[in-house]
Amino acid sequence: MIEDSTNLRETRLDKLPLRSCAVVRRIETESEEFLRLKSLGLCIGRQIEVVKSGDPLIIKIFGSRIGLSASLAARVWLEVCAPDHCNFS
Amino acid sequence: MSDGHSNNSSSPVAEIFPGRKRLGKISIAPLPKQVNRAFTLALVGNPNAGKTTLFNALTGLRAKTANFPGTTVEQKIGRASIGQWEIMLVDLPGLYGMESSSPDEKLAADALRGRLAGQPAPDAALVIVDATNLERNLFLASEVLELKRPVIIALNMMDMAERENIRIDVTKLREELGCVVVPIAARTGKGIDELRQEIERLAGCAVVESAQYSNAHCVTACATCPYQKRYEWTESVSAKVMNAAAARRPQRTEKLDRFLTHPVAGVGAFLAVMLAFFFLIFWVAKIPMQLIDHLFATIGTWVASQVMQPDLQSLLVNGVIGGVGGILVFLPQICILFFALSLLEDTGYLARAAFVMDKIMRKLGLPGKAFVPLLSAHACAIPAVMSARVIENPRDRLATILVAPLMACSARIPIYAMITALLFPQSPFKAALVFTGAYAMGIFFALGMAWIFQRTILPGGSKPLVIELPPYRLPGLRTAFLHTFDRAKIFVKQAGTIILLISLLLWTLSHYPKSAPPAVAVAMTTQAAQLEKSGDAKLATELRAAAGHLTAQSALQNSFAGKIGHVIEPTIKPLGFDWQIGIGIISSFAAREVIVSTLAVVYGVGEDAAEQNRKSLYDTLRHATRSDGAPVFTTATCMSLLVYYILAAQCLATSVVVRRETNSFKWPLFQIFYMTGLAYVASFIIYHLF
Repeated sequence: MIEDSTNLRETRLDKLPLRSCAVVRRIETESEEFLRLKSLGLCIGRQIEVVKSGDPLIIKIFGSRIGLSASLAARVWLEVCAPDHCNFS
Repeated sequence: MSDGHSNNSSSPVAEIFPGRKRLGKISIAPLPKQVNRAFTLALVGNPNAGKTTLFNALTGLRAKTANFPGTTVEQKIGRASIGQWEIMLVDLPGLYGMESSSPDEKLAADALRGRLAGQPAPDAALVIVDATNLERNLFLASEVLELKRPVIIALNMMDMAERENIRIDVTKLREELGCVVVPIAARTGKGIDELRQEIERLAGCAVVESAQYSNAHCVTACATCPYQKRYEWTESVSAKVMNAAAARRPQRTEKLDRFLTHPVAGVGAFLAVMLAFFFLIFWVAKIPMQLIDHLFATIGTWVASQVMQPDLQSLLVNGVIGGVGGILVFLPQICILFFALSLLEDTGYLARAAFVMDKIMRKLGLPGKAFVPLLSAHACAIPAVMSARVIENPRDRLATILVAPLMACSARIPIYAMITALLFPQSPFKAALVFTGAYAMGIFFALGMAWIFQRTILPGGSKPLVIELPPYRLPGLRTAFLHTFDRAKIFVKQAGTIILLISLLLWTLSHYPKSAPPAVAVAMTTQAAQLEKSGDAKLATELRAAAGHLTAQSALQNSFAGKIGHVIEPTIKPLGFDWQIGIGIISSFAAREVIVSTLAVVYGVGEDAAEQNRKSLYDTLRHATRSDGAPVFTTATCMSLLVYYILAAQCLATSVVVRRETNSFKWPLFQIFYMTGLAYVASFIIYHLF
């Protein structure tokens, strides 16, 4: 849904600043935990937002909040969206 | 809402649903093998979508919990009479997708696909979808629809969605999905009647739409990247059917989470909740526990007055009634525990507590959720081991089960009380200190053993945290009550049977072979009779009681239990225990606290002293001497006995439950071995230090 690529830059999920939203671009592992994360919505192309940073951190995908270890977050690469791009309330 | 599909019946009924039971006038000959097989409807959905609430709303008390064959993963099976049909409703474990990794989710997916041996695929699936989180929930729904089995979608939490101003066009959603969609609010019961009607219709085969369902777009596109394409599909469907532009996402969850998941404030809140939990388990449970205790004492007295034959009387009063009472006295704690846990889980707090505790627990090789069983273990290890099911990962669950019984359960309290009273009769402060130390030691060893297991037999450490933090909601009392009832049933059945059996076995061991009362006791009884004649009734009663105590003492000493005490004496001597304490340790296999009343009998104070006159018991124990005249309960022996009771595996009922929960004999045996070994070594060291 987000095609605007001019204003995007890539970053790791555990480095993503609080409240900024981003789109998942790459996931560097195929471990068991990622199977679950993917079915929870953390998969390529999805828009997410960090609502609490640190370890563990909390992200928002669709309407749900997911807590995950920073070690897992470090395997997820995202592109940060332009400031007005996302419509999280 | 149900007009559009009732005439679509194009496939032959029996082809789709062979062998279901029909109670009405039209009957279709079932296949011979499947006679009387009820129509099975599998209930599937994401965790936190309200699956259990809906299951309870449809079945109520007509449900039983059973493990998937050969596993420790539960499924609930309930029967519901819907219209003329008898529907078998199977509540599968919650799952996010069909390709999941956890054993629970895998089993749920396999059960749906009909891949489990001995469990045929369900006739249809009832998919519960959270209306407030449509994009995520449709992911699983679309996967289930692709199984080409009839599907009803229960669009749950419509009341919440309404409150959040999320509008969902149900008719449009039905068109997009190609199956029946019923909007409901399981918590309030709204829409349940409509849902029952749809289930009735489905069982009657009027609905075949879902069988014709095919999501061509998704099926073809998903071949390359299932998750991405499927989520794009769920997003596009959601965009079409849902008007969320004006949605007011409640700020409550966010605000609460800022506090409850805070690294410092969150841990503080967690400790406060746990304190309240302890208060419930110990102080509130005390009242019903005393009531149960009194009730069984009264029943025992009544039976004793009715049955005169001494052996039968003792068997009934001490063996049977004592045994049953010994089980049921724990029931209040267990009920309160599971009730409170269910409420905590339902509100969404349990996920936060796991989130906050994860970092701390992980260092010890345990997941954040392990705090539930470890905390419960302070009441009783049995519900603790049972509640380890909140942990999804098998390794983490096993580690938790193995260490949980080291925590100071309430059956240890009477022993701690006895030993601290023996050690420091004059100083309540020092006694309290030792008491607290005993608790701390249990926690220390439990966590320490978890740390050791992580580095030895259970390597790999705890799996990284992935947990959904559901929105905070008001808990459902009905769900909590049914859950409590279910757990209580398992406890009485599993632990109850074994405790009763052990109680009867121990009764036999301590009553046979019978021996004649000692000469002194006989003489005392004769003297009492003479005193009675001369009018001194008070002295006579006292003399009779003393004779009774002596007889009981000699009977126990000469019984099998007494002989076993002598046999194990060389083994326990290095710990400072004599054969009398040995009898006490053996009697603890029924429940640890039994040692107190056993010691009362062994040292000739009489069983009643353990109940009514602790001081006289303690005085007697303090003055008890060995054959060489040295006191038995020296500081060293007391400390050694205390440490032994903190660490040793003694409760066979716990072992039986561990066997059930690990589905193996290996782990309960290992647990008995390592705990008792640990206790032996620690007691040995302590005895020689003092």
